[in-house]
Amino acid sequence: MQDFTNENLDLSRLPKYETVTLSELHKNYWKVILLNIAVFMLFLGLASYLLFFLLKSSNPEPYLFIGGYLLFGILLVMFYAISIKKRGYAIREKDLIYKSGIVSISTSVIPFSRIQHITLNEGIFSRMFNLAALHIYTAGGISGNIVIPGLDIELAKSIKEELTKQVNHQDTPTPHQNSKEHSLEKSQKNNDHQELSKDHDGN
Amino acid sequence: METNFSAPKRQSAMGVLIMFLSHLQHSIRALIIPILVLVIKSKSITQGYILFGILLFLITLAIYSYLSYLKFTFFLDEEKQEFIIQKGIFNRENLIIRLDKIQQVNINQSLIQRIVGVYSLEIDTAGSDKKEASIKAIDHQSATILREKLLARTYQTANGHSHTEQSNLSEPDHIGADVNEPVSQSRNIQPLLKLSSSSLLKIGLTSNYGASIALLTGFIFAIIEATRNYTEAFQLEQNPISQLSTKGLGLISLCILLVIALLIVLGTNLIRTFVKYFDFEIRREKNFLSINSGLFDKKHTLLKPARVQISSYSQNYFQKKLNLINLRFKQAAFSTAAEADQDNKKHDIEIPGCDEKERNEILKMIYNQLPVQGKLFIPNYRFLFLMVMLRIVIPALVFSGIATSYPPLREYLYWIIPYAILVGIGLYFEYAHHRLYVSEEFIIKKSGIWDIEYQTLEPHKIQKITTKQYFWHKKADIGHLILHTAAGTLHFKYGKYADIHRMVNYWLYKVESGKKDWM
Repeated sequence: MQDFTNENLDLSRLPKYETVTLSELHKNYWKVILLNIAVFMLFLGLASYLLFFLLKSSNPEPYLFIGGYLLFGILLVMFYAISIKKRGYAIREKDLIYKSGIVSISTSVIPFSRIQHITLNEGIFSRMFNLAALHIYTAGGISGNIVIPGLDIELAKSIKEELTKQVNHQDTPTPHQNSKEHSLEKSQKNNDHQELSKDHDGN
Repeated sequence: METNFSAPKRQSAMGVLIMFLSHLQHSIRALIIPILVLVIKSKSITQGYILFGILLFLITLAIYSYLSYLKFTFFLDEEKQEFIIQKGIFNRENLIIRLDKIQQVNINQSLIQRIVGVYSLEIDTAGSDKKEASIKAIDHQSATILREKLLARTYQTANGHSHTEQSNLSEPDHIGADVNEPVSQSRNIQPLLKLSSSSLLKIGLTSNYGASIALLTGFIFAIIEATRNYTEAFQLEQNPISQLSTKGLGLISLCILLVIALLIVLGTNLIRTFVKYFDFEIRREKNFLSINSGLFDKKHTLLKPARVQISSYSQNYFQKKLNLINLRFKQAAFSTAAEADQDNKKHDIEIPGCDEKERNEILKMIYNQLPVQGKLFIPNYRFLFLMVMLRIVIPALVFSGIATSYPPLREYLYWIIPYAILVGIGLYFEYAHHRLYVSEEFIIKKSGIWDIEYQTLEPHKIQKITTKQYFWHKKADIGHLILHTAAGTLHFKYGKYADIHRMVNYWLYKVESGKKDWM
C-alpha cells in the first residue's frame, strides 16, 4: 500500500465508455448473414410447402402463402441489414465493449480482470470468408458472456492471444496495474491489438 | 483420531452401512413400482421366488457397498495443494480438487448418519466442472480438521496468513461421540445469532407463503386426481369432490374452505420452517461465519465473507411489525456452462430471521462495514407504461376478444375490473419500491411488491455491465442497467441514461483500477 493515494475523484473526467468509437464488424460478415438467412428461408420454404399440401382440403390461397413468405424474407434481410450497422466492438486498455441491438440497443462491457476464458468459433459459412466469432466468458454465467461475431480470423486470433496474456498477467498483480491512467480509444480497427501488445511490453 | 490426511484414507467403518442404505434408497426409488406390480400381479407360488430375488439383490448390494467402501479413498496432497478422492470399483475415478478453487466445505448429517454417528463432508468447488465432491461417512473430529485444512489453504493463499495459526486452533480434544453438538471448537464463543422457537414461529407465520401455496396446490391437485381415479376405478357414483365442483359452492362453505386452506398453508409453512431451521445458530469462527441448522438433517456451513457476491435482505409488512428480517447470501454459482438461475439457489445461504441489530452485525462481519445507502436513483414514470400495457391492457383486450366470440364467458367480463385494480395496485408498489442507491463502496437495489428486498453488491463483484435503451427512449434519455455477477444479475430499469453512464464509468474505473478480486 505504499503507492496509496486518495485524491478527490472527478467523475466527469473518468473515461467514458459510451463515447468510445467502435470498430465495425468485417464487411464479409454481411455475406455470412445472407447465407444463413438463405439456408433458413430454404427450410422455411420447404416447411410451408408441406403445410400448404396438408391444408389443401381447406383450399388455402397460394398467393397469400407466397406473399407472406416473401414479406417475411424481406423483413428478415432488412432487420439484419439494420442490425449489422448497429453492431460494433472496441477494445480499451482494460476492458472490452460490444454494442448491438435494434429495438433496444445494448452496450456490454467486460473488464479484462473478469475474463475467465476466451474461445474462437468458426462456422461453416464464416470459414468460407475467413471470419470467426470471439466468445468471451466471465463467471457471470450465460448472461455474463459476450460474443463478437464477424471478425477477421487473423485479427480474432491476435485479439484472443492478447486478451489471454492480459488475463494471465492480471492474475499476478503488479503495482503498474493499479495506475489510474485509463487512457482509451487510441486507435481502433486492425491495429488495436498492436496497441495492446505495446502496452504489455511496457509492463 | 487421525489428523494426518497426506496418506490415502478410507471413510469411517460405518461408511459401509451408509453406502448400503443410500444405494438401497436409490434402487428402491427406481424400482418400487415394477416390484409392487410384480408382487401384486403374481400368484402366491411365484411370490417366494420374488422374495428370494429381493434377498439376492440385497446381498449383491451389500457386497457392492463393501467394495465401493474399500475403493473409496481420499487424501490431501500438501505439495500440489490438491485434495484427491479416488473411487469406483471397476472404473477407477480420480477426482482432483484444487484447494484454491474450493468455495465452501459443509459438514452435514442426515437422519441415518445421525443414528450411526457419522457426518458427511461436502466440498463445493468453483471449478468449471459442476461435480461436487462429497465424503459420505466421516467422524466429526476428522471432518472438522479436514475442513480446517481445506479451507486454511484457501485462506492462506488469499491473505497470506500463517498456516500454523490455523492448525493450532483445531485442538483435537473433543471426541466425535457428541453427535448433537456439531461445533466443537467455537463452543465457548457466544453465537452471533440464535433462533429461538418463538422466532421460528414468527418466521413460519410470516414468510414464504409462495412456496407453501405452491406445495399445497400441487398436493391438492394430486389428491383430486387420485380420488377421481379411485372413484372411476371402483365406479362410485358420487364423489364428494366432483359433486362440489359440479354443484358449485355456497358462500359459507367457500369461506370455510378458504379458512381451512389458510390454516393448512400456515401449518405447512410452520412445519417447513421448524424442520429446516431448528436450532439455527450463527457463530463467528475466525474469518468465517459458521452456520448450523436442522431438525432431522443437521447442516453445518462455513461461509467465507469474500465469497459472498450479493447479499440481500427482505421484509414484508408483517415482518416489519415484528422486526423480523430475512437475510440471504448469494455465492458464486460458477460454471460458465449453461446453469439456470434456479440452480444458483443451492449455493444461497439463508438466515430466515433476525432483527435489525443482528443484521447489521452480520453485514458488518461480511463487509467490514455497514453498507450505506448512498445517492438515490428513481426510475422514470414510464416504468409504468409498458407494465400497464403488458399486464393490464393486453390481457383485458385478449379476454374481451375471447368473450365476444365465445358468449358463455360474457358474464365473467366484469372480472376485468377487479383484476385491473389489483394488478394496478401491485404495479404501483413495484414502481414505488424500484430504487437504486449508489455509494462509493456499495450498490443497493431495492425492489419488490409485498416482500421488499434490498440487494447489496460491491462494485468489484461485477463481472459484466450491460446498459440498454429502447430507441424511442433516446430523446427522453432513459435507459436500463444490468449488472452481471457470479451469483445472478441486478436490474435497474428506466433510469436516467446520463446517470447510468456516469455510474458505469465509475464502476468500471473501480473494477479496473482496484486490486480487489471478485472471489
